[in-house]
Amino acid sequence: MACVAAVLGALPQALAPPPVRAALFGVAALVVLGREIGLWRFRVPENARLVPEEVQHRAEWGALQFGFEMGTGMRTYSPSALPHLALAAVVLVVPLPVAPAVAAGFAAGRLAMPVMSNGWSDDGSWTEVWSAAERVVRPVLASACVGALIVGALTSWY
Amino acid sequence: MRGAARRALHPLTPALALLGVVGAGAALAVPGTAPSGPLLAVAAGCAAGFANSGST
Repeated sequence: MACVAAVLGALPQALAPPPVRAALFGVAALVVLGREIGLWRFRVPENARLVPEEVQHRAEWGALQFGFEMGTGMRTYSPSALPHLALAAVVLVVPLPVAPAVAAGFAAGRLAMPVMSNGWSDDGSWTEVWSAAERVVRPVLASACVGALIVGALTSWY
Repeated sequence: MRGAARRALHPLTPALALLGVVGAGAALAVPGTAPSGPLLAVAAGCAAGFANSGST
C-alpha cells in the first residue's frame, strides 16, 4: 500500500510546490491529531470486517493471505486515523526512498500488538489493559506519529 | 508475570518509547547532526500501525 502510495505520490510531489503540499499535510495532521486526542470525532474510511479464521486454512497460501490482510490492515477495522495520515504523508511529503521505512514501521507496529497481547497472558486480559490505557496511549501515539512526520517534512527527511 | 515484564508489555511503554525516539530524531535532525529521516519515518509508521491495531 505504501509502495502504491509512494508511486502515486510522485505525481503530486512533482507537480505541486512543496509549500502547498506541506500546508495540505499540516491541515490533515492537525485534524487527525484533534481526532486522536478526542477534540472531535469523525469516521475514517475502513474495511470494517475481520479476516475470517478459515482463510488461514486455505491451501498453501492461506496463512500468507491471512497475514497480508491482517498485517496491512486492509481487511479489518481502523480505530485510528493515524494510518490514513501516514498514507497522506507518503503521498504529499515523504520522498519515495523513505516511504518503505514508513511501511516497515507500520508493519512493526501492527506486529507489536498481538505479540504483546500473547506475552501478557493467554486469557485475553490484555484487551482490558488496552481499554483502560487507551485514553492516554492514543494521544501519545498521535503525538509521536504527527511529530515524526512534521519534523521529517520540515527537515526534508535529512 | 513479574512487575517489570508486565510494565514492558503495557501499551503505554511502546507509545512512550516511540515518543522518545521521535524526540531523539528531532534533536538530531534539527541541527542536521545526523540523518534521522528514516528513523522518524519508521517511528511514524510504527505509531500508526500500533494505534491501528486497537486491542488486536
